[in-house]
Amino acid sequence: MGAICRGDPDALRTFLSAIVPQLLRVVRSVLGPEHPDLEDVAYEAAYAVVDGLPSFRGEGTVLHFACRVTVLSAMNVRRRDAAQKRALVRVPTELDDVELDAPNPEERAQASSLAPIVRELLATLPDTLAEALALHVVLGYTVAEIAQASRLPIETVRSRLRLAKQALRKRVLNNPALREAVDAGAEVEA
Amino acid sequence: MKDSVEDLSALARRGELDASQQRRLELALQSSSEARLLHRAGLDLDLAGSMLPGDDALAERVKRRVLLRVLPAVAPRRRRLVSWGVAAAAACLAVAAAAGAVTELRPLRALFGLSAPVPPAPVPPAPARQVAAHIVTTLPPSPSPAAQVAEPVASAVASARPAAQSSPKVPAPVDAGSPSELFASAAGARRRGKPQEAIVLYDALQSRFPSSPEANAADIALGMLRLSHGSARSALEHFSRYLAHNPRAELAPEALWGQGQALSSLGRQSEARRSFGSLLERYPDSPYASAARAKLEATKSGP
Repeated sequence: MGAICRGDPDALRTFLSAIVPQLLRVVRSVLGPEHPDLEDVAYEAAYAVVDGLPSFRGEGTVLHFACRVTVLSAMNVRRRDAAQKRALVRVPTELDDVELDAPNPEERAQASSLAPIVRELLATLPDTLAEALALHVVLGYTVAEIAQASRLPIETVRSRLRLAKQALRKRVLNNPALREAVDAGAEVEA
Repeated sequence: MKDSVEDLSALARRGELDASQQRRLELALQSSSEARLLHRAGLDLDLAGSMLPGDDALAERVKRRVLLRVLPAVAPRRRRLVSWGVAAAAACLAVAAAAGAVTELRPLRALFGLSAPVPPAPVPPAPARQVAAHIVTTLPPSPSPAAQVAEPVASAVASARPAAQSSPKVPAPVDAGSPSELFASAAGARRRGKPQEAIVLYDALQSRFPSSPEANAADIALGMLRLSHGSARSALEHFSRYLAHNPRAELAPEALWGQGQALSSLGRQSEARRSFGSLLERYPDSPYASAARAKLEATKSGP
């Protein structure tokens, strides 16, 4: 890391070669594969990682740091998109009243996938819940890892994840097609 | 400590569950639809984030762009390889939006956006096409969640946005990149509503690559930006310099219009009239023609 921070071009190239494919995956998870700004967001995120390296304190791996920076960058874009869309169509901003995106090719192709609905939640949930949800479902962090990365008590993380889960369930229950697909082969609680 | 269902889910997605944990996860998922949904969401996102064909090239492009931005440029000063027409087309896009900030040019935005005679660019060479593409695709700003997240990551995200800011240990973006990269960054900053940042980047472009076509076109954008911020004298220098170096270039109508506006702001009405008159005479079909005519009429009947 020291070599990168000192501006060593070879070290920076090596570092970018290692992390950029991972960052692309994260960006695609958050924004969806069809998002027009995929490359730009990955680029901004990669730059943010490099720019933030001097402040990296060695808590967790550099890859975790990079992925978390990228999740937050992509979520920013997602939230901005959602805000712009709301402003354009003037829909109520009440969380439960916000309609899902009109079906796009990706959503049609993956009618039973929860990815689009999670992306919506990342854009519309309060920041704290959205971040906990993203770190868990996008990066696959455990509760303890989220707590460490976010510098929060474990119970706070649990509470946020619980609220995010409730929001996810509510969204799914409001979507008949998705509910049917998700519940196939599994019993649903009352 | 006993693993929660979220922990078991995370470990399962990494393939790190032992048999006992696997059984506990299955039980937990059977008994809770919320847990089942969250686990399923994670699996779906793992799938959505898979590598796709073409990702290698995409990753390479991203890497190259970051390197261009972070590392100091070492390439020698470029000659004017990019065609004037294409550079002008890119600049027109920039100027069109910059014009939006100038009240009196506002009616012309539609002309620029819809039917303005953007100089023909049959087959743009790559660098200029890149400039134009960046102007169109540069991301608008997003509010950072910095206030609610841990400091190192939050500051990394936040500090990466303004192109002119950088950590002391990483070279500033203005020190890096080709003329087209700098031009694109500047245009992007302007489009994001950050005129000061755009001015810094355009200035950097002109000082580092003074003979590049992008630096030339930047005179128009800089002139418009400075004019819209009340720096008429400085704006006038930009427009006049552009005209002195490129009296018949594609952006001459814009330069004449800006020159007239700047002179008018400085109270030099007779000189402003000459600029507007010259614009009408040389470019009667320009989108600025009717506005220039109106200006001439107004100053003729004015006090």
